[in-house]
Amino acid sequence: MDFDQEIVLGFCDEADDLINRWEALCLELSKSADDGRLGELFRIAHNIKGGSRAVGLNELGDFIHKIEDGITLIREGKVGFSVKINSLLLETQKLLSDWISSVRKDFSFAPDWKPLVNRYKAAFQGEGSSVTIAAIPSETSKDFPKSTEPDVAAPQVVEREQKEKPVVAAKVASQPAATGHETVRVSAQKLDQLLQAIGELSIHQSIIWHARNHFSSAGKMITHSVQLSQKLTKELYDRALSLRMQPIQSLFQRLERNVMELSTSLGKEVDVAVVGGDVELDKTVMEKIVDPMTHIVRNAIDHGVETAEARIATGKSARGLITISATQDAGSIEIRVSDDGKGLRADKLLQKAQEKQLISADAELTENEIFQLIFLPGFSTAEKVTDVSGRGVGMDVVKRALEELQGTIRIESEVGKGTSFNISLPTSVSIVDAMIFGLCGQKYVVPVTELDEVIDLTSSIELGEQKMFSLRGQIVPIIGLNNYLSHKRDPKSKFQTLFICKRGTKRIGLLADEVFGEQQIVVRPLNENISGAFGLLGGTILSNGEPGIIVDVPAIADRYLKEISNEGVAA
Amino acid sequence: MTGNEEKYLVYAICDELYGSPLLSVREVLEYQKPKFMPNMAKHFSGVVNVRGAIVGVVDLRTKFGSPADINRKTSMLLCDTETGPIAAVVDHVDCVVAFGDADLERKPPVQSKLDQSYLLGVAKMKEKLVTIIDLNKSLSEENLKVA
Repeated sequence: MDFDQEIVLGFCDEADDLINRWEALCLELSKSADDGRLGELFRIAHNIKGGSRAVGLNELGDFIHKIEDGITLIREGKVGFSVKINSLLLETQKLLSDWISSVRKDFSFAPDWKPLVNRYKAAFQGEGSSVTIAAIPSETSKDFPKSTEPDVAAPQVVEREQKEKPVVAAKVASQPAATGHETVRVSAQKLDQLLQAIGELSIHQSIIWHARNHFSSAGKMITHSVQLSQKLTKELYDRALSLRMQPIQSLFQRLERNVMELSTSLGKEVDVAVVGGDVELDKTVMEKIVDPMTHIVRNAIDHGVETAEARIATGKSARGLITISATQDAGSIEIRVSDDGKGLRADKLLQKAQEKQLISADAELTENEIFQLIFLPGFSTAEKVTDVSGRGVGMDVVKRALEELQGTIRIESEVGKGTSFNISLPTSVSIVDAMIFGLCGQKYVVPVTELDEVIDLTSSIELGEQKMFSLRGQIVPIIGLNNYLSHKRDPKSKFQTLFICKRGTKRIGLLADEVFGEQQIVVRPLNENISGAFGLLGGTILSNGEPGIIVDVPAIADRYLKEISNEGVAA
Repeated sequence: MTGNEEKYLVYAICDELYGSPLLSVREVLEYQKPKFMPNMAKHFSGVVNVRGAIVGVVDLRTKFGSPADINRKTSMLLCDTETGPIAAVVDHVDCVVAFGDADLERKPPVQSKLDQSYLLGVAKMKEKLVTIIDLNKSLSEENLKVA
């Protein structure tokens, strides 16, 4: 097995985090055992398993798979949770942690984990269950003879294995430090503080910039240095921001490897095409989508792509194709995983959801809504529980992880043609181009990306109460932004500027007084105590030092559309 | 001076003196006009820029009485509540003073327009009475958003 150094070390970093969490969970479990914590433990085991197999640490994968089985038995109530089991879980944590730190030095390292699994088995039997014996196959009878190390005492084995594999170790050590760039895990909080400080600096900078107009005597030199330092501040901010951004290639590479290995183990022939690896994504966002993406890709191979015979029978080429692509959109990144497999059967999904009583038997759903069912907790389309997927933990975890990142996931599928998962994630959103506009004597901010276009309103048609406007032949309703931002109509209001916002196929015109200009703003999230009011996205500091409120124009357009559709029902 | 003393920040709202534990106030700021923020509760005055952070403002003067005009002495007390910082507008900041057990009567059985749970006690300062309130708690429980 050849290892890709960067990928394995990346996995080790993540595994360390997971193992830390494992320890915390065990400690909490010792106080009160509840299913939520066991569930999290199970997901950690599942993630480590997936990750370890993906990077080629199969021994680790095999071990954690056994542990995962054990946790499942506890969760299903077939085995009572006891102090003894908890201490075994903690021992597992220790073993994993040692394992990972040894793997960092020697990728082919593997301790003898079987005694620990056997002790689980003994503990489970001690809990008086007959199921466990059948569910966990005896290690001594089946797997043990295959092991290269028949010793039982683990620590000795560790030492011996290390001695016996000097060649491999040397090989790893002699690998040139070609990567050169060591990854430093910076606490995101520190980075944010740095960003905040620099952001503040840039605000003061723009205050000076505006003040210079009032000190004409200050002369050319000051103007020049102010100009320069403004340039520098911007550069500084961009650099600090870019610390967080990383090309998505490393993630794609991992997924690619995943596909290759998994397809081999499932006996399927699958090619991978990767597009857009140079698209950059925020580091935290990237770390958080590793597991969801892995799940999606594994699902695509396990459930999507058919076996070679089945493919030939339906007139497709024997080799399946999985395409993983990333594209940079204005304010977001679109990641797409598509396969050319058998597609999702809407009728089957519906039947399954009804069987599992996830939806009521008489629910009428559109095809699109049916596809969304697979994101429900406890839904799994696999006929049997496989090693790869099919425990029903995957897709709901995927959705939740993406939602935490303000992302969305959408499924497109056609029976016989294939399925594609479209994920949309916000890029780092702390600095945006925005338009400063006036409304009833107040200044507000709207991100340029939220607007379709901005026009000067010259003429409008009135249809009863409702104002309309003809935009290149399309009739666009006009609504006053003041109605949604608790402003009374100011008689002095000019109402000249119309923001056109596109919602689906509809266009809505939102009326403001005037536009003052366009500038880059640093988005400040509002504190919990003042956030969440309707129509407001966040705050920023304007160039005159005043706070500026960022208006959620699309949300206002959506509310208007909802209001008129309700009126339609009432009428 | 007895032991068991605690320092309080004493401030005035509509000619009445109030006090709060000194450490519950992060800083005293010069008054700045809050910027209007739509769709918020009536007693929420708006937001101000505190060195780059956007902080909500609650006018305690409207809450506890009728507000006087803004003058040089009008100040803002910046408090860190559990849900983020908030600035409270008061008429003026008087002094910092230590009250011992002898000066401070905790939880006196008085009726006031203040919510009893914010009322920590009443203290004597020279000839005047100071109402001691839990500023953080009172500000944390503010519902600033329009439901």
